Amino acid sequence: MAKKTSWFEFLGSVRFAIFLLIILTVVSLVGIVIPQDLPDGQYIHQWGRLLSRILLPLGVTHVFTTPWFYLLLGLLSLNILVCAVLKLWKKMDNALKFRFLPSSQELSQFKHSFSFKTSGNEAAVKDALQGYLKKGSYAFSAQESAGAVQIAASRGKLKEIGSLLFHVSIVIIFIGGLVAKLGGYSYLSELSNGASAVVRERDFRVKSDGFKLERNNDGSVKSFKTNLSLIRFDNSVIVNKIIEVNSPLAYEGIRFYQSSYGEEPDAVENATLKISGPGIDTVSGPSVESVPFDAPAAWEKSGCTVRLLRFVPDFMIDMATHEVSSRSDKPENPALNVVLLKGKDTLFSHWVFLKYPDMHSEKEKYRVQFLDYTPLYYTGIEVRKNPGVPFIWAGILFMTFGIFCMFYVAKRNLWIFIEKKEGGEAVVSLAGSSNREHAGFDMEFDRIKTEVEQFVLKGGK
Amino acid sequence: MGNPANLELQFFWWAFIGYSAACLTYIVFLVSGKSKVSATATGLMAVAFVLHTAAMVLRAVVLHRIPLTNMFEYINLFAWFAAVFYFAVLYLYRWQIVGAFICPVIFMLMVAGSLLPKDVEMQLVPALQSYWLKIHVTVAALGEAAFVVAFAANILYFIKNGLSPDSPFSQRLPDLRKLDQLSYKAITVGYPLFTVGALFAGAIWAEQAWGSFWSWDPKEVGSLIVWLVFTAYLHARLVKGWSGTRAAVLSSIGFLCTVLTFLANLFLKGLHSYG
Repeated sequence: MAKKTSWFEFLGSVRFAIFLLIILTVVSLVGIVIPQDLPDGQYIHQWGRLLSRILLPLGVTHVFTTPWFYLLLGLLSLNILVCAVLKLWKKMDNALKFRFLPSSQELSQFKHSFSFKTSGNEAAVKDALQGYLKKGSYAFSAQESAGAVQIAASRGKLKEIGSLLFHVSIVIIFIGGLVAKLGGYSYLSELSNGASAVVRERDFRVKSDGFKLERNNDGSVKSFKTNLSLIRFDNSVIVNKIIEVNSPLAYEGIRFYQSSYGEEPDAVENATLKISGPGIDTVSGPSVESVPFDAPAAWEKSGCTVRLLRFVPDFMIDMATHEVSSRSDKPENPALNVVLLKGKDTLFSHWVFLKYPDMHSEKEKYRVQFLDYTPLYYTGIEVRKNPGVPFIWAGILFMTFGIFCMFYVAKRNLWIFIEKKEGGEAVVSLAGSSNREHAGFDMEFDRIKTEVEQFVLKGGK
Repeated sequence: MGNPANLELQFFWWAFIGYSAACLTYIVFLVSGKSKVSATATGLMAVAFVLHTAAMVLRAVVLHRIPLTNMFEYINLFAWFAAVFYFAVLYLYRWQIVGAFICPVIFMLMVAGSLLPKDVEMQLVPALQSYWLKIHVTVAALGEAAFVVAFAANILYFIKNGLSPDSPFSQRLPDLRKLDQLSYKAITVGYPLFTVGALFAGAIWAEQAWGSFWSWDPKEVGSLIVWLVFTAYLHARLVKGWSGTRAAVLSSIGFLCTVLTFLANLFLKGLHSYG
């Protein structure tokens, strides 16, 4: 009667593994074909009501975060673990043990075997053969029974160890992902220059000591960096690093990534103004200068002081109250509130506009034009706690080691019998097996045969 | 002396012409079966390969870095590695006819490359400024190029299997069992490289740049599909004893997934959309 496969055996079977791999492939295809994580409205618009009512509850719009997807990964882990316990462990254990054959008759069962006579005495032949095995990096063990010495040798045990490591590592990586999901967090912290924010679950703050954006000649972004500090609540600095993309700061299990940046909506780094009027015009006409934001600046040699009081990116004024505000955070209509002073006299105090440089009353004696500005940037720091990182790293390292052992190490087993014959002669018989494909091992075994004969004849030299 | 930036593209076009000529010559060989013709084709491949190598070296000189950052450069690398494997197969097996089937794949890659923008980007966007980029792209392309060899062997398998054994063309093809072995071997070379290069090096780099090993970005999922298919293939083959047509069909599906994923940048958005 055929043995019935138990449920436990099925869980660890390759049949179940292939079934899961196919399902995962199909799910992944769905995840590519259907754009993921869009607002529901877009799907309903595209598919119509009826189809959406069927598809949306299934989670096809976010397949990789649905409970049933986690269930699939759980089943795959279970499959791997059961298989590791039932099969892979045994295979590795067998590979690590020396399996002696009951008698030299067994050797003829092998596809690859040979034997030859030698005049050397048994002990010398044994030494010579062991020398050969050592040279070929075989592990071996010898035993004596019924007047014959048997040596069992093997090479390439790493293959089975690698296979076990490879499979178990997949589960380790899943555990890493799960640990990250349950015990980790990540959020974006947007910091102005000099500003700081509390780091979640920690007794320190993250502070930006300045953001720097570098551009190429064509205006594209070359790099962006933040001089980042972690500070205690008494403002003492714990650690400081200039972070950029590909170079985060790590401290106490929290990593700080340079993630994004943006323009401050209510300040600029500096602005370029053109001012004309009595006592300011030079021989060549009105003068142009760059002025820092919100700090009194002397205007050339005129004895005047300029101050940029306010900035709005998208100017809007309430006609009733004359209250100025910004319609949006986009630089649609950048405006500056500029004050020009000489001693205690206010010479000019108005809003000036980048896009409308000529919008001024003719009555004004002084004319201020807003020519250009350098935005002041805030930095976007991704604060991330991922307790799964060590698992994932371990998984990746084990799996890399395992996969190369599995595919690039060939396993070989050799069995050698040395039988004493009358007249001081000995017969050496040898058989080998390998998981290499036959054509390859045919050639290798021929080489082993020649080498062994030479080694024995020369007495191990 | 010409400008190296223009020279580099000239070499690309010469290599392109070389591969096309080799491809045509191989077709003549397939029809005629004359060994002289196949020797000519192999010679043309060698010339094209040298020109192709020169094009890549010149581009590296112009850029002051290894050119691996846009689809044109990546497709060049892929085709170049496929050519390396072509010569490896030729050296190991002396099967001219396998070359006749790897060569068209290289040619098609070159055609795809020729249609892409070839401008040199002197400055990389910040995310690409990482040595993990080099490891990720190079090792992944090497693995994918090994899958090209498997695919060529599969196609030959299907042809030989479909023809009557007495037909003269069938007799010029290698033994079915050997083709099956070649396909399997190419996958055992490609699979570890693909796993480590495309998946692991990519994940480590993503963690450095964006703080997340895996984001289910379409190209990531595509690579995962490739991996799942070849993993299924290896289990079917090694444990269930699949070989021959069934195995060749499954591994060809894996190769088609590889090509689709490789080209995913051109029609899918996501973290990999660099051009």
